[in-house]
Amino acid sequence: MQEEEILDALRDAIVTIDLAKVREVSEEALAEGIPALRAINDGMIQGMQTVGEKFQTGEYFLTELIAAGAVMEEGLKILEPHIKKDESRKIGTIVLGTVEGDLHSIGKDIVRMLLRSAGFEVIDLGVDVPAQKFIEAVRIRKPGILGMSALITPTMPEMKKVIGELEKNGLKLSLRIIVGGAPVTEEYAQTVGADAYGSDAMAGVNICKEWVTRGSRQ
Amino acid sequence: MKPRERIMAVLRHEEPDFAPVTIYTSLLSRGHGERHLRNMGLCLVEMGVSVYGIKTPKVKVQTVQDLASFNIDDRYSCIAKQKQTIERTYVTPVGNLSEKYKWNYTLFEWPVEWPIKTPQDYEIAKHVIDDTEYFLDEEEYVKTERILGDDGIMALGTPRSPLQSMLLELMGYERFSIDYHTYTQEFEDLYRVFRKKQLELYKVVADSAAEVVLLGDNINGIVTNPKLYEKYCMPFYEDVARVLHNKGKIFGVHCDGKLNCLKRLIEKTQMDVIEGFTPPPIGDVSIQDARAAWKGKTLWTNFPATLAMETGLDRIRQETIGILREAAPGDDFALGLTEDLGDIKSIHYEEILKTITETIMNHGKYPIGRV
Repeated sequence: MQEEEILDALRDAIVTIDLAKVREVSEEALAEGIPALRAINDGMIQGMQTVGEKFQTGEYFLTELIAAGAVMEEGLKILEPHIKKDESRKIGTIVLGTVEGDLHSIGKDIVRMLLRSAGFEVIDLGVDVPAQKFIEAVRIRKPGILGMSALITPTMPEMKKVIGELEKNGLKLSLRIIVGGAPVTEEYAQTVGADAYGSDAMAGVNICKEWVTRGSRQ
Repeated sequence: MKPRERIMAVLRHEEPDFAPVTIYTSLLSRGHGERHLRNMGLCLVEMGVSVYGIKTPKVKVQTVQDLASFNIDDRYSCIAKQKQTIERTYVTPVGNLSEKYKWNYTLFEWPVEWPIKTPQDYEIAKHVIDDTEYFLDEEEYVKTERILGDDGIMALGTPRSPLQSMLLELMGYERFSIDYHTYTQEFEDLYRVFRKKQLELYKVVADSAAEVVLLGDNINGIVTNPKLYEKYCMPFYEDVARVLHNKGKIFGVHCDGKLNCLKRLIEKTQMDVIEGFTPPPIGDVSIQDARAAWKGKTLWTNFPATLAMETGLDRIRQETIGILREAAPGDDFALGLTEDLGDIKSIHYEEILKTITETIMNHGKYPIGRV
């Protein structure tokens, strides 16, 4: 296959949610000497963009979005180790987690997958994450963005607690904070001092992309 | 009317004296405050007692859990206490499956590791499901109903429908999404076995003392999209409704998420009750729109817990009045507290419940006028 055909095939594998094909074509891309970063950016990411558009128009649903993300992850496993040292597809770093007391992972996992596809390095702290763990991760990993999710209403105040602790520790100034989850509202996000509210996964990811495009907070 | 009569009237499409206001018993500790709330008219909904038992003759279930430091009476320290993991292994002649659960905030088990991890696990899962036998065991249910008297109703909570179980209990959303598109045959085979087995359960339930059956599906159109809902949930509800309606049971489904994209499909189902229906800001269908779309179905509306966050009792009173205004004149309408509201600021949980109940009793007289 020619380079363009391979890139098209990578795009197709994502859009048609074809795990076997993405593996096969990723290997082929490397064998044909296509730079890994080009295969990712001009192949798979283009495919994810098409999936995102189909999702926005209602042709695709969340299952397709997630499955396409998983297909892309499979391709990344093959291609990423071959990205040259002086190249990087990372556009930003985000620490992500579901707040303490809440074990729901669906929303957070969707956001993680979409952020990864968009080129973010995602430090996923998992579910039921205590405030201290968020603080430590921000202190050590120095992300530009912190994302918190909650699905059980009584656990929502944990967001406020984390933000309060970040302020106390002088870590909030260099950070943008986005919150989301079914019971969370724009009003609540403002009340607790978050910088943004993601009404759904795509909206949240778009806000993060906009932030990194605009540059760091400082 | 007594609380039980009031909610039953609405569930039977009859006229209540006031809009019913209910709460799951699991969300209300017993004692003085609870007695006061009951006397005010708050109706208890007991969902924690079953009418059936389960046997798995060929599958052994091994459970490991550490409950040493778990204090179930101390609901406000649950976050600190809920770190225990429950590990369960299903030992079958065709292989083993393992899963891990943690205690969720409201003391439900919540999966953190699902039994289906690889495509090979489907065969074992099918074996576990197929081995399950349901039998009538309603002594405790009948006894609890007698004790509850007119203070509340028994509602039999049944397991999630096969698709929702596969999604939330067997594989998790990521695996579910991948397998649905990639391992189609395995996915469909498992679904068929599951559906057949669950219908056996409803035949047992139909012959039981349970009058109100609430299927705990947690429907959210974002997760269970219209395609999935139409292909899997609707036909299953149809079968369940037929079995239950033949024996005069009332059949409801817990639909607590965003339902706008499912609005037209829900209208076509044979369910009698849309339970846990949650209006904005958590849901995306207003009470008014829901009533217009789902005529003939009881809208058992959840008080959106978000409305109680970072607010005061005045705001809660106003929001409750707003709900009544939308529900007017109140046919086929009940307000149900199905989420843990927790404490807000320094206001105790029971004060919140008192405010909601009081507002309903002050403004919810049927037919509800312009509040």
